[in-house]
Order: sequence, then C-alpha cells, then structure tokens
Amino acid sequence: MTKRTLSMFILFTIAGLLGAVSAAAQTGPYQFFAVAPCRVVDTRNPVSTNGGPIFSAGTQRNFAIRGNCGVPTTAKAVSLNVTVTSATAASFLTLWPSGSARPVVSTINFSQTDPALANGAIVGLSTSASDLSVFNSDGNVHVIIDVTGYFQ
Amino acid sequence: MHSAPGYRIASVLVLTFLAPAVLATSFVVPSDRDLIRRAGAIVIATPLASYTQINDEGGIETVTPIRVEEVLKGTGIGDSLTVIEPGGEYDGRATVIPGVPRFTTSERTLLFLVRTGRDRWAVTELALGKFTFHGDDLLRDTSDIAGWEPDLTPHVEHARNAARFLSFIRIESRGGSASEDYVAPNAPPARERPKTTTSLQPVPMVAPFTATSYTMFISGTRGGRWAAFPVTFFSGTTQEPGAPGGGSTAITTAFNSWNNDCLSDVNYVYGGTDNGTHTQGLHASDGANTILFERDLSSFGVAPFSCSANGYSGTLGIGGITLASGTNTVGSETFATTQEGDVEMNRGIANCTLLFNNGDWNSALTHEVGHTLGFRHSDQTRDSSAACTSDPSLECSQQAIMKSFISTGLNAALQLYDQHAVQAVYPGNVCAPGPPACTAPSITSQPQSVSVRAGTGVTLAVGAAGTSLTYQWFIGTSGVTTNPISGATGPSVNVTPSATTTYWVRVSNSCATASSSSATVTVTPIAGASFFLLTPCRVLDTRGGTPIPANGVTNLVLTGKCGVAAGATSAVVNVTAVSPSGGGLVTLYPGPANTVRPVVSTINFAAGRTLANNARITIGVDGSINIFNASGAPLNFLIDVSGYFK
Repeated sequence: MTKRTLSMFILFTIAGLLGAVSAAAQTGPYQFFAVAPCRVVDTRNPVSTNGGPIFSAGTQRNFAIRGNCGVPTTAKAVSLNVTVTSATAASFLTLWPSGSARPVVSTINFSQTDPALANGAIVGLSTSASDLSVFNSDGNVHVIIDVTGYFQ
Repeated sequence: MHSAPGYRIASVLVLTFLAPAVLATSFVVPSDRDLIRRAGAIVIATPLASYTQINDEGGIETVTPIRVEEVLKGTGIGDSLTVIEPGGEYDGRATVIPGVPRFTTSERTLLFLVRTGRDRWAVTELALGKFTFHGDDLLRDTSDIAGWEPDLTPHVEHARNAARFLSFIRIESRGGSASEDYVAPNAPPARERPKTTTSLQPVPMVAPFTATSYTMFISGTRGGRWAAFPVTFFSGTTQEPGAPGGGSTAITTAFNSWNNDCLSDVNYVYGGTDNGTHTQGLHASDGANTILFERDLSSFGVAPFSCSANGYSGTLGIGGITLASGTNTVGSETFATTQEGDVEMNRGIANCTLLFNNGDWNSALTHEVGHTLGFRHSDQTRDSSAACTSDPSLECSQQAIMKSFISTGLNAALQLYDQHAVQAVYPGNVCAPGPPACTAPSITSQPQSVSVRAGTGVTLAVGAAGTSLTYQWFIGTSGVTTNPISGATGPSVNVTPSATTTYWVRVSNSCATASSSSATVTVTPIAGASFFLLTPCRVLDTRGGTPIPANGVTNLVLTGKCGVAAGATSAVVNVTAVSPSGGGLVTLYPGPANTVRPVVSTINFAAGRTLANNARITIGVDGSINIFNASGAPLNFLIDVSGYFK
C-alpha cells in the first residue's frame, strides 16, 4: 500500500515538470537512491561540459548528470538543487530531459536583485550523453546544480 | 715582566693517501641470512701465510693463501684459494684501513667470500664475513665493528654454536629455510671490546690536563695564545684553483669549526682577500694574519703536493704563530701573546678534485688554523719530538683534527680532543640550553571507527601528547606500515574510501613512537529506497534555542523524530532561513559529525528576507545530518519534514 503511494508521488512530480501536456510521458515506477551531496554543474568554473560559460539570454545548454557524482547511467531522474547567481535581469530557468521539446514550465524564477537563489526539483534524464537541458529566458546568469539522489 | 722579542714556529700537516677513499668503520650489520645470500663462496679454511705487495694503483695490499677444508657454498673451488685485502705495511710505508679483516696463520676460520678477480677473493663485507672457531662456538672478529643493526640500534654481536650455525648455512645455501637456533647460550661473547663513541657535541672538560698541555712550545716551555678576540685573517691574492670559493669556503668552514664551540670564546673573522702587500706568510712577520694558497714551501723542506685522479699524497700545508711578544694568562698559567698567525698551503693542490670533494681539504685548513691558535698535535709531544703517549701529562688522541696525520672523513668537525683543547686554552662563553628533554609520545584519544554512505568523506583524528610530534597515517591494521598515505602527516586525515577500509596512525618523535589502534571506515553502498509520506512536521526550529553558529556546523539526528524511521536514507524537507542578518548559504549533508563537508548548497539567502526551499537531504548511516551555516552571523533555521525514503 505504501509502495503504491510512492509511485504515484514520483510520477506526479515528474509529469509536472515535463509540463503534463501528454499523459504518454509517464514512466515508472522508480526507486530512490540517496547519494552523498555533490556539485555536478557550476558555470562559474572554466568552460567545459558541466562548467562555464555563463548563460546568456534565450540560451539552452545540455549537461551530463549520469556518470557524475555517483549517479549511474541507468538513472531515470535526478533529485537536485538548482541555484542561480550573478543574474543581470529578471528571468526564469527551465530544466527538462534533453532531446525533447522544451516544455512550457519554470523550475526557478529570479531577478537581478537576488544575490543567489535556489530551488529543489526532481527532473527526468534522457539517455543522451548530455542528459539534462537548462534554458535561461532573459539576461545573463550563472547556474549551479547539486545532486542529492536519483531515481531508477 | 717577561717579553719575548718574537718567536716563530711552524707546524706541518702531512697527508699520505694512497688509494681512493675507503672508510668502513660504520656498518649496517646484515643478518646472517643476508650475509649468506651476498657471499659467492662460504668455506671452512685455515690461512697458510700472509705477505704484502703493491697493487696496480700503487696501494699496499695483503695476500693470504688459505687451505680449504670444506666448501659450504660455491662451485669450482679447489683445495686452496687466495684472499686479497687492501692495506698493510710494505717497505717502511703503512696503510691502515679500518674494518679490514686480519688473518692469523693456522687459525681455523669460517669465511664468507666474494670473488674480486681471477684467482682473487675478498671477505664479504670486510670483517663481518670472518668467523673463528673457539671450542664449540664460532665468534666473529668484531675488533673493528662499530656498527648498527638494520633498525639503527647499536649492533650486539653474539657467539654462534658452530655445529648448528654450519647446519643453518648448509640448508640456506641450498635455498632451504632453516631456523636461526644457533645463538649460543649466555651469549655474547668474550671478544667484544668496548666501542669507541665519538660525540661531536661540546663536552665539558673532565681530564685534569692544563691549558698549557695543549699548546706547542713557543718560548721555552711556554705556549702561545691570543690575548683577545676577534682576530681577523685575510687570504692572499692567489686563490686555490678548483677549490670551492677559491679556498675561501674552506677558510670560513675552518673558522666556524673553532668559533662554534660554545664553551670557548675563540672568534676568528675572515676579512676577505688582502690588498697584496702581505705576502710573507709564515716565512716572516709582515703585520697581517694571512692564509696563502699554492705556496712554495721548499725552504721548509716540503715538496709540492702530489695529486692524481686516483689518490693524493704529500704535505698539504703549514700553519703556526709567526710572531709572539708579551704575555697573557689563563688561570694561573702564563702564555706568550700571539701577535701574528699565518697559514701557507702547498703547491700542487690546484684542481685536486678528490681532495676538495671528500672533506679532507676542509679538515686540513681547520688543522692549520688550529696551529695559529697555538695548539700542538694530538698524537705528539708539545715540541713534536716524540709520541704523545710518552708524556703522561698530555691528553693524547688518534682521532682529532689536530692529529699530525689527517684523519680522513672528519670534514672539519672538531673531535673530543679538539674540543678539550679549545675549551682549555680559550675558556669562556656559555652553551645555550640544550633542547628540552624528549617526552615519548602517548595517544590520548584514538581514531574512531565510523560508518558512512558511499562517496562520503570522513575525518579521522588522533589525540597525542609528547615532545615535537610527527604523524604518519597508514592504510591497514595497526602496526602494518606497508601502505602509508601520502601527505597524511598531521593529527587528522580526510579519507573517502570506495570500500570499507581500516586505518591507523603512527605518532613519533626523536625518542619513541606510538601506534594508534585501528579505525575502520565502513562504507554503506547506495541502495534503492521507497517513499514514505509523513504528516508535515517541524523537526528543527532554532528560534528560542541555539541558532546555527556563524560559519559553524550543527549536527541533528533526524531518525526517530516526526516519524522518520531508523534506516531512512533521505528526507523530503522544506528548509527555511529566518530573517538572516546577512547573506549566505546553508549546506545540509549527512552525518556523522566528522563527515567531510562537501561543496554544495541547499539554500541561498539574503539579509533580512525569510526564504524557503524544498530539498531531499541525504541522511547519514548514523541517522543524523549536518547543518553548515556559511554566513558571518548565527542563523535561525527551520526544517519541516514531509516524507522520507527507506
């Protein structure tokens, strides 16, 4: 009975993030695997897949979550905390599994008056090498992603 | 008052060096098993006779044919073989190399040998490879062993039971493994003689020798002595080709040796190169204290020094008091007052690289400078006419900078005799207090075993007391030193093992070491978990209690509270920073308290604005989490839990 509750919860969350336009996007059920907290993306670092450069207005980048920070390549979704800093305009980020159309959702909203701001989320991962897409709407902003677990 | 109109004395340092340097008195004594392995042949044999000859390099060597009774190891060995060792006495010349074995005709011996040429053998590791039969025992010829065990404690030589030791050798030589059961009962042994200890630390005078007894004759039986310091010396315009600093390095080395005895007030100063007007040296007084190089000493009956790539010989130099007048006293003893001292180093030393490299050059300068202080030779009487031992009022030494023949290997370091001399003739000064007594390390708190989640680092720490401690951490159980952790040399270490691993630390200082107990870091693998929903519940509210300290950590046990079950791996929470007085962030990470904090953030906040964030936070194996407040002010913090994974 309890296990059933779990499945429902996860499906609801992921579906929400994906935009819930199409019920066909539902998969699962999945188990949760807690990992040692770990910084997987930081655009303040030198330019690399999971490092710089800073996001500019209207840009999308794809990051590699699976294979890093103890998240295996079999992971289907990740439990993360996304932090923005050095924003130059009021904007929002959208996080979604790479390789699919950007859903009309927001993961975190912020303005240039916020020194730094964070939000927790559970986001699906695609099977591409760079499995997590991040879109920034307006201005420049640094993005930091810490993981605390994954689902599979 | 007696006033000497001017005296002159020169003293000569002779150095004969026939073969490339061999210094063999300090061994690390190998184990018997090791010795067996190193030996090309092991025989029971009896020396037939010994004679000396000159080898191709011009050195003296001693040849000893031996009759072989039994071959314990080795092939192709007949009834006899020839052992050749360096050194000996030939045609009025003598070379004595410490540590070389000596043979007595008809003495039955056990010899460990190495082949040194066609039909040439030598004893393995000098005298260490020679044993003599005494009744039921085999005794090593230890007369020249001043050695150390492999752990650097002084070597103790034991008698060996002959029958059992020979059996051990036979088995080991065939590649077998025998037990070392041959140490004779109630060993050790008769033939060990007291070791000579050489201390280079200042040693207060103990012998009742007078200050005068350390000096050369200058005026009648009176010695010469400087009345006051500092005394400045200059070098001549001719440098010593090939020597470090053109010879100036040896001068400052020599001065430091005499100046640095802390129970003496000697203070020689090197004033650099002279302007070229003081060129007489010891030949005549010219009003300046000088040290001159590449000098023609033929008027003293001294031929040029001889140096080749393989060795050197001859007289290195002369040094002494060129002029003395007036008197001064030490206690009740009166000395002629030194007015000028000079040193002249011989021709032929130029580019004698071997001499410059092995420290004998420094020792030679130090010796000659010692004569300018008025000192006699340690092995001769005050007028250099007879052996020192012929006069019981003199302290005598064969191990000294001031010995008439140079003691190879001292490299300018004052020996016990030299220290006695400089402290007696030039007393004064006080020694700085020595280092504090060494307190052996003791462990006051042991590193603790801990369980962590995979990928989590943990800090292991030891508490220890003692003097000047050093630390080394190891992987393995306590006492096993095969896997030291590179760079882990402090009282704590951060480790992130990928699998369960045991650690320990060795705490050391100059007098002892202490080993900690073992601490095991048990790694719990990441495991799948299901979600359990809870009625939302505030599990932490620091308001009215203790806020999270500025740049500090609070450990909080989550399991057992608000329904979070024991064994939960992660909690679903909403965290709130309440009215922060400054900007900052909070990191939530799993316990225990000594977990290494990862560089992540759970919530970022700005001054004055209460802010919340949702998170899934990993719980430690011990059921706790750590809350780190990265801000300059204490922070009120809330954690509301709404579910957990297990």
